[in-house]
Amino acid sequence: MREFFEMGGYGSYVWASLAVFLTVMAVELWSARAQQRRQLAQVRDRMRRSAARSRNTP
Amino acid sequence: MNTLTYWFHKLGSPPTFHRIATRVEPWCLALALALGAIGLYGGFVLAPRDYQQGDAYRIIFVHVPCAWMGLFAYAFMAVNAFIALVWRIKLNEVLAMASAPVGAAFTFVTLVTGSLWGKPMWGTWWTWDARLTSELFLLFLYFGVIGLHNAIEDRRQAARAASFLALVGVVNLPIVHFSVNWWNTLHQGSTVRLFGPSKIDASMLWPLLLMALATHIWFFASVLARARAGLIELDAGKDWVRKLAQDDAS
Amino acid sequence: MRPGSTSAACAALLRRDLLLVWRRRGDALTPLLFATIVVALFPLAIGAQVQELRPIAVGVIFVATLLAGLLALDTLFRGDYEDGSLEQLVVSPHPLALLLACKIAVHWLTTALPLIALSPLLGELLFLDPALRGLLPLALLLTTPLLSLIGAVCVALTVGMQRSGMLLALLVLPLYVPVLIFGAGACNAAQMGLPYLAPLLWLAAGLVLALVLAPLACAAALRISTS
Repeated sequence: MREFFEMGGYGSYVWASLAVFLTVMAVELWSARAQQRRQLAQVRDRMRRSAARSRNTP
Repeated sequence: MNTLTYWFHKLGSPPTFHRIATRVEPWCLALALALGAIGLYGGFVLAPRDYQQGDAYRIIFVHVPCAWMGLFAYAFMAVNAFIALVWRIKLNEVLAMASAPVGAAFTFVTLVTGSLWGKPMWGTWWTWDARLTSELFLLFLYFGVIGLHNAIEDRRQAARAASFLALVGVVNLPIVHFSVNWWNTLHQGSTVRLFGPSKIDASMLWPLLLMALATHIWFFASVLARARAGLIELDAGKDWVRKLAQDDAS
Repeated sequence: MRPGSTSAACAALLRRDLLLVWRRRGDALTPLLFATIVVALFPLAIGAQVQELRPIAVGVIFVATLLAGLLALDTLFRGDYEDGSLEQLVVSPHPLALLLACKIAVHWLTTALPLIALSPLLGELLFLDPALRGLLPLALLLTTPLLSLIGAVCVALTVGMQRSGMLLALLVLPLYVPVLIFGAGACNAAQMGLPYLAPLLWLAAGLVLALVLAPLACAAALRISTS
């Protein structure tokens, strides 16, 4: 098992590149999702504001 | 109108595309994760050690699929950019702009993993190898497209301008590659290749191809997620988005 | 020339742009000063010995020229955009690509040509290899129009923006890579005693291609960003 993680002495390079790959992919997907949530929240904000405006000016 | 063009037009309408994308995206993600897990297991555990590079060669199981994806994403962006500029289809503008950050992420991973491979193999983190240099300028091209898209206020105009830049980049990329190759022969001798001219063994090939498939599917999942956000932004005032926002809140 | 014809419009545009540059002669000197200062900074940073400066002379002069051109690019459409005459060009009945080609030509004449004339002096500052005294201006003569033409396409994309400086650099620099490589590469090859004709011919081929395509691309980009 230890031998597997050492990767014949190249362990740090091999696992670092795997970690970079997985992290960047995860962050990338998370940012896409966050963008979506942000857009929808903005639409909701705008709807709330326009609803408030139409209530205040009869 | 025949059925095919009917479906084509239907898919091009933002609400329909959004609905289908929302349904397809989780499946894409699940499939990509499953294939990626198998591919990584095959590459990092099952595949035998390379007789020349030892275990360091295992980096190719993430590096090479990402390098392919960096180019594939650019091609996907360019095709969509072309359609967006010629036929002015809103969906293609959104798709082109959605693929830019994903492609940049893949290119970034390619550079970092290439550097991590280069340290034990070449003894330096960076060398001005023709491929690495081309890859670096590919990343800058992506940044240019993203930067231009973010800098213009009007969203559709921003997408059109950035699409145009993406197309200029398509012309430029082969020229950059050619010139960098020429420059490389001028300044240094031969370099170590990640892939030698020798044929790759089947036990190493199947994890690699599986990883390539997984990254492709992941790319589409991510593009769908970004395209959904882009469509919501473009159609912010439309009824279907308002309804979506209300459903999302509840 | 019949008034109202395309050739008359081009001539009028050329005359107007040249006159505008002449009225503000001080501004036209900025790229020259900038390139000279950049070149003068290198001996201070690296050392003033011949063997230190000679190997990098070509590269420094090319990069200084490129950066000076980049600084000057911003002024290509800036004034015309602000006073509205750029939109007049876009809606005029004459082919926009031709009019833009005239503007780019004047821009190159007033910003790049003086730099080429200055390049022997810059070469002396960096102890340029005497064998390259003729080749360097020739290589610059082939590269600078390409830089202006490619740059114009990117400027057209960013024309409406308030602060476009850094973004323009980001858009333009990846496109400048092949031009820089072949231009400086030809001189470096000559310095090493290698054949240098091939890169110069590539540059010439690129220039011919860009002369035709860049104004068209520039026009298309301008229509996108002013619509």
